[in-house]
Amino acid sequence: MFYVKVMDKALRFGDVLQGYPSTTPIVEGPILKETVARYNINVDLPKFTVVMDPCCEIRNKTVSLTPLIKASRKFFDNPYFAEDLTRINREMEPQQAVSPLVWKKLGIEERQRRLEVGRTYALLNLFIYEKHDLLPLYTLQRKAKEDVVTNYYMIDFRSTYKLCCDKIISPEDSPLESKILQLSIETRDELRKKLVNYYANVPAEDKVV
Amino acid sequence: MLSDKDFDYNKLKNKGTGSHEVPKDYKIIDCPFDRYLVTIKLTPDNEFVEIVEVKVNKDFLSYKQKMPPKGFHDVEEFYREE
Repeated sequence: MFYVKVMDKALRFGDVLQGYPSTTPIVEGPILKETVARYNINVDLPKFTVVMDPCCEIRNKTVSLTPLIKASRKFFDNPYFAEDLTRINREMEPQQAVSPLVWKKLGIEERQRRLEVGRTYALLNLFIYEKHDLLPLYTLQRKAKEDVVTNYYMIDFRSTYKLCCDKIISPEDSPLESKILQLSIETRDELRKKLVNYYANVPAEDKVV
Repeated sequence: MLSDKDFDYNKLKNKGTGSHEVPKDYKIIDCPFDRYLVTIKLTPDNEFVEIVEVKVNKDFLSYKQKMPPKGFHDVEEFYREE
C-alpha cells in the first residue's frame, strides 16, 4: 500500500499538498558585488507539492517542499520500470537499471564493472509517487513509440525549497485542507532511505583506498 | 585541621577499591592493537609506565567499513530528455 486510506490530522514527511507556490532563484553567476546584483526569481504554482521535512521539523511558520512533477517518458523505455515505476524508489540489480537494449550495448567490460557494484539504488535524486485517482492523468509522447497515458508522478530532491506560511505552526496546527495524500509508513520509510542515500553517497575522491 | 579519621576517609575515597581516579602526574591513553584495545599509563613525558587494561575492541568497523560501501547505478545519461 503506497498511500494510507485514512490520513492523519497532521502534516507528515512525504505528504502531497496543493496550493503552495515554488520559487527558484536564477543568476548568471555568483553575486560578489551588491552594486551589480542581477538575478531573477522564478515563481511557479505547481498543482501539487510534497513535504520534505521530517514531521518534527514542520514548525515556526516554515516548511520544506518540492514540486510533484510528471515522470520522465524515458523511464517507460525500460520494461522493468514500465511495469512498476515505483521500482525506481528501491535498490535494484545493475541490469535492471537500464533497458535490455542499453545493457547489451554497454560492452563486456562496462557490464562487468556495473555488476561488481551489485544491488543498489539508481537515479538517486528521484522518488516516484504511485498512481492515484486524485492525481490527474497526463500523456507522454515518445518518438516512434506509443504514447503513454499515466498518472505516475515523481519528486526531485534537488528541487527542494523553503516556504513560509503563517498558518503552519506545527504538524497538527497547519492548513490540513491543502493535504490530499499521505504516504503509508512503509513508503515513507522508502522515501527516507532513498533521501538518506542521496546525501550519504560518498564521491570517489573521498573514499579511502 | 583534619583529624586522622577524616584523613583516612579522604585517602580511602581517593585510593580505595573501585576508585578510577588517575593521579595528575600520569596520563592514560587507549591504543588499538589488532582486535584489542590496550589502555596504558604514561608519564607527562610520554614514558611508558604500565599496561592498565586490555580489552576486546568493540569498535569493529573501520572508517572505510563505516562508509556506505555501495555506490549507485550511474544511469542518468540513459534517461536524459533530448
